[in-house]
Amino acid sequence: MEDELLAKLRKNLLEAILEGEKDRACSIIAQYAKEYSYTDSLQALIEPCLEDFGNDWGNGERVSLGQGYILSKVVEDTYNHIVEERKRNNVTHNLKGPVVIGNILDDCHSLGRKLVITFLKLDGWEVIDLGDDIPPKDFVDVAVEHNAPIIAISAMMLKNALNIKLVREEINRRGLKDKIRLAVGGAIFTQRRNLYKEVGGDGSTMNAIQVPEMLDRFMKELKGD
Amino acid sequence: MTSLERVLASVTGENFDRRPFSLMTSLYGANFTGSNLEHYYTNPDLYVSGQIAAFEIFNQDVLLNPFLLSYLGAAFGGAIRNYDKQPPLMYKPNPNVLEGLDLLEKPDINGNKYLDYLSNTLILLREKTGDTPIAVTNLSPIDLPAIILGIEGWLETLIFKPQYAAELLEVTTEFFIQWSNKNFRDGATFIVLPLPFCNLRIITPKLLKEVAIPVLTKAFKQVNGPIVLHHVGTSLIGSLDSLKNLPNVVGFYVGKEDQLHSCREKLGSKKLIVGNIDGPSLYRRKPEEVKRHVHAILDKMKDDNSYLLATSAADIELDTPLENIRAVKEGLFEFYGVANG
Repeated sequence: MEDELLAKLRKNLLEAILEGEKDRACSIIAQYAKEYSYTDSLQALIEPCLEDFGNDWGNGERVSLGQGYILSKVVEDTYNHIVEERKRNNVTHNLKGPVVIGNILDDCHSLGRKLVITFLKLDGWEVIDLGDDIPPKDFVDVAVEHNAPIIAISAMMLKNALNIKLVREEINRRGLKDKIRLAVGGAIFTQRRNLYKEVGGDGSTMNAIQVPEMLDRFMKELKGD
Repeated sequence: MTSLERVLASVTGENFDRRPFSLMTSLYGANFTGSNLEHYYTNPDLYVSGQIAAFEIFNQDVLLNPFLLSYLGAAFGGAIRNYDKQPPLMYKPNPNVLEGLDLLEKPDINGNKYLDYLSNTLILLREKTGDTPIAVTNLSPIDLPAIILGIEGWLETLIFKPQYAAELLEVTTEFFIQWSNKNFRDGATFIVLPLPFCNLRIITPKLLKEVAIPVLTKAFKQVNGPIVLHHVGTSLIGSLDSLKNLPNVVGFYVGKEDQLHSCREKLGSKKLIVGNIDGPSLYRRKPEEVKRHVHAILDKMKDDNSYLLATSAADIELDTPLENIRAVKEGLFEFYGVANG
């Protein structure tokens, strides 16, 4: 596809998402996929869109959670088509991870976690989703059981976020400090930028789109790269 | 001047003997009752005794009815959970609601145990404290569904199911008008509305313009008293242009992120600005640091009568040293040369 046409499609896709038009956004991707494939649309359309969107998301100036939610639905739709394509073409795909994810004890605000899961799957991660209100010990039990190098925990409010300290204590108590990285996130972490250190996290991001990149960094650290 | 006179002077931009101030002591008052939080948040006598004890120490100019938005969700059939050190929170929304509106419990404002607690507390607080201003925290029609359906459920509905959203908004608008007007009959001086679903960090500009503002305009017109809008822990500045002319809105709680002068520029000279001390983080500060912060804010706003000093965001934490909270009052009294009582 000509660069000019591709640039126009990317622009239209981003505009549709920002204007809250999920169906229009999906049809732009479908139009591209008809000529190429959904798998190709990942690099050609979705990734540039995520990059542009992610730059603005979190600084609070241009995009909202609602627009992020629409983006995640578009990504989810594309991802489902990609999985179908892979099945049809017998393409096997090596997954990264796994990452064990959940909302910490007392926290039932699942939206942020679900957004993160969508972007992680798109980036090729195996995700073990424990759901809401998860006791600290369970995160570590499941990570050990599945040999997961990363635990990712979400919390919306400060009181609940402080429960993540118990996960850190459990990781350290079992001598897993150098084997498991702890990613934390949620609304309160975007408001209090150093809170992730206070709860024993190894990192946090300003939005769900940036999470796969952080986890890639964690994997490199664990491998000693 | 009395507290009421000071607050009224601030609302109208007139002179006062000292600037009025408010502290988010809804939770903190439990410290003075010797009771656990479950009792405190079910027994109006306990709550009111805690608030009066706090008032005798801190001398704030605005009293607060329980800051318990979860009880509004519970009134609509949601499940709440009690905690040792924080107020009851919504644990799970009513699971039936996403199936259809006919399964939604529409609470009777005169016969629901959660609403009765809030109402009886307000009546008692008014009886015990004369004409001292009382703020009641409520939820607007556009935000009530978030506690009924959960944030994700409401966002999904607003964006992808506009017909269902419109029907639910009719229900919440009717409830909001009835409940707010009952609050005023029971003794509220003004109601405070946290507005996450009017914040451009949460919803799209299109939803703000085409859904939220029309709903709020219709609802606020029918409320018999003043409304102060609240930032909910994140900057509201991007939405101020759209919100400032809503009916009955006299002021705005702003957050620690919000620059007071920028808010004043956006709002014009007549709207009350309330804030912007971060209440939840007071526990980790030192009294002298709090006083310096208060002095700096008061100095910045010294020429602006329509400003009310307040801790904003959520409750002041239960474990906050009393001296840290008293430092807000002492800082303000020092600034105005008033003897500390």
